[in-house]
Amino acid sequence: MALRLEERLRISLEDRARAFGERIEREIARVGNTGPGVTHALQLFGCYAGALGRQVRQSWEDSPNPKFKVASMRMLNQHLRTRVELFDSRFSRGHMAVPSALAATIEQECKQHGLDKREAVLTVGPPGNFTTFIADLQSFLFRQIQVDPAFPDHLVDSHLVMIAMPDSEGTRAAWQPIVVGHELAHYIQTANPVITRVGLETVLDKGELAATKDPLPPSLAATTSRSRALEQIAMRWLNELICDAYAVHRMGAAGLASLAEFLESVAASTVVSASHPPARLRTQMMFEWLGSDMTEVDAEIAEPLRELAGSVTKPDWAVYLTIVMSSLTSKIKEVVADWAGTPAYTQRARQSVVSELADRIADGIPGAESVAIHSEFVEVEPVDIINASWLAIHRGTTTPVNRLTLKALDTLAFLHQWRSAEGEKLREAPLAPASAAPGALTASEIAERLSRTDQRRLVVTPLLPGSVKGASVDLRTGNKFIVFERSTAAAFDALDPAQDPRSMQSSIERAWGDVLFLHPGQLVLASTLEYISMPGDLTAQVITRSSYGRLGLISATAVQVHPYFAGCLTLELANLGEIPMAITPGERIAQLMLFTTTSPAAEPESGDKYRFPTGPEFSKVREDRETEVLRNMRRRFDERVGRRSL
Amino acid sequence: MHTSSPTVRVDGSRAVVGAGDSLELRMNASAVGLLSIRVASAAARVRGGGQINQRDQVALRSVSTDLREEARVLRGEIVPSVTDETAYAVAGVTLTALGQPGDTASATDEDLARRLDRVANDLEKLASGRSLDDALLARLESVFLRAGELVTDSLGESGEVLEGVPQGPGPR
Repeated sequence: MALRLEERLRISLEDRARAFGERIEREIARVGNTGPGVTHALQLFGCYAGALGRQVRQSWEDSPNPKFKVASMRMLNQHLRTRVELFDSRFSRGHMAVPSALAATIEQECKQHGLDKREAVLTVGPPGNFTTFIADLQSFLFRQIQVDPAFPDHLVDSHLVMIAMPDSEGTRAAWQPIVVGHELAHYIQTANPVITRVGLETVLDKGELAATKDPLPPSLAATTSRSRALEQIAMRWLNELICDAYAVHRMGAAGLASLAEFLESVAASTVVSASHPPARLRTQMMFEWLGSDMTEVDAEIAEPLRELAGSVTKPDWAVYLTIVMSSLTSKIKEVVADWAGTPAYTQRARQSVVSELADRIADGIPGAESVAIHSEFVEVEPVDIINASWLAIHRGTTTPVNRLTLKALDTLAFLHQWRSAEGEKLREAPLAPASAAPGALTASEIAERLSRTDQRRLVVTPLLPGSVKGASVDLRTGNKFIVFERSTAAAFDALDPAQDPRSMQSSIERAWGDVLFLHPGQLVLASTLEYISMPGDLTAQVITRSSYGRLGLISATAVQVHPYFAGCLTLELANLGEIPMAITPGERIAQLMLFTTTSPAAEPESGDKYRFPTGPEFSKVREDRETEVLRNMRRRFDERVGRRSL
Repeated sequence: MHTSSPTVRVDGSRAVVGAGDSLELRMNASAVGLLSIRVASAAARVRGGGQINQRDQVALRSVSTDLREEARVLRGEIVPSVTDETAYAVAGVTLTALGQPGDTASATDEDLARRLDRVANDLEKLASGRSLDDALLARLESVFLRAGELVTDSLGESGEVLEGVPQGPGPR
């Protein structure tokens, strides 16, 4: 006998739930253990897929007749569709491009707001916009699912902060105030709301709202009364403005710059919506919040964006709401300052630090752990680096600002973890008399070079205590790696333009504290944690520390470091031992020996192919200048012997 | 930055849940739809001589709580929430299912609050096991089944997505 409609719907829904569960299992297997946030989010989705299958059976039994069975199956189908869509939008593009330091920053910020045990789930989402999932994932995913979700113990109390960054550009360091400022504020508001403290209801006149005539956004046209619909819009606008104010409070001028510039890229500044105030109003209010604290450095960062500030002239209800929101400018600033629990970030206190960092970025050096201001060392905060990054951008700096900024932030994240794991505090290197004699530099000569500020300056950052000794500087592994993948290519031919190293290698990143296993015979590319900037009269060699060499770990087959090199050194790590080795990012595995040249070297060409790397670099062997000559030689030889050519 | 909170919105005769601008809105709408169907199902079961179960009671109380909350917002007694707009969503779709399309726009806030309170009263009676007359049960069944259908319709699509077909104004 043919199945009835409701039975067909049930069977196909159960099939879809099962297929979704299998897809999640594959994703969990693919990403492995890459930090608790992403792993726990995937496991929650896995629990959902199982629970939905059980919910289908329960709803089937609870439905009093076929009509309700059909309605329940249809609705559960939409429930599943929207969850699959969420999964796809947040996890199909992966999370490897998101700097791991960002997750640590978000978890730290949550802790400051009393939100313990929050795990950041930062992924690459669809292009175009940031997306913050402001609700608690667990409760939202399972909303109206009545069967036992069968959570494993570790997920029962899981709290996830899910933010997706737009594909292709979201991982730019310049947008960090949006993620750590505005978007995070949305999440914190769900746990620790502040909106009612602003007192919108005292200035919002429902009679004025009802008297407006211009059409509402189509989606709100007949939901409820006009004044009620506009009241909800007003609340949403205020919610956004509070998050903007938080970004400016925590990040100063960089908060304003990143939000104003990103909003301009998303839509015209006069666009009015039911969920967000027009960008012109937001920019205007951000300038007012920065207001009296504005310094010269702030002005350099923010002023070019002032023409994006202003108000709107239509529709009438948006004009009224703009007036209402503007009247709350001071109150929002006051409430947010109290809510944030930290003093506002002002350039007045930090502008010397920000300027110094921007200068270093312009010199191709990724920030510093501390900078000397009036002979005193001032510790650098991530927010200083973000502001320096914006300053460098507005000054038209030609070095790769984004890459250097991300490296600087990553270094600070490492140092934060280093200290919290009871590592020694940094200390400045002792000074010693300079030596003019050529040859290998001793520890005191290295220290002297590190302390210089002129053309003979050597930069090694971060420089952890005890790293300079004997006649070398210890080097540690960073947390970015390039690993080989299974490839279908029969062989790699460096002269074949159709072949790319990326077809057989891929980049991965490990969180600080995580490990990478290196199997016997395996080769991975790592890079040094330390960013090195060489003066023109020094050259260097990288050698494996003997303690590791004796265990079978060999690093740095390309040992020479040229004068003027600036960047993290790529280390070719190979396990020549017989058992897998766990490599923890931050391990001291190599040494840098420095030598003076007999005369200063010529400055490199601007197109030098490995300039300013901040992680391991893919081989650029195909860009070698003699490649084309060698190809021609091969073509001629192939013609002579009748072989198929490149 | 997409951070809109969950709600159900109604445009003319057709509910447009989430208005296509937020996945979170649509996720919440699907939960609201499920809840509506559960309420309708409970009413139908009692009308057919059956008993409501504990799961029905949870659904009935959840909806009545949301309706009461929105009634209080309409009367200006409490400030609306933007971090969780479920009550706004449940009330919006219930009001649409109750009346003629578009009639909420011309009603006063107090009128709307009274409509919501009346439905909440009925749901609370049903949840507590008190007897309700057949006509009222039939009305609850019909209103909440319609609410669920409105949500289902608005979340669904008319077919597969065809791309590359120029439509409306824009570059050709």
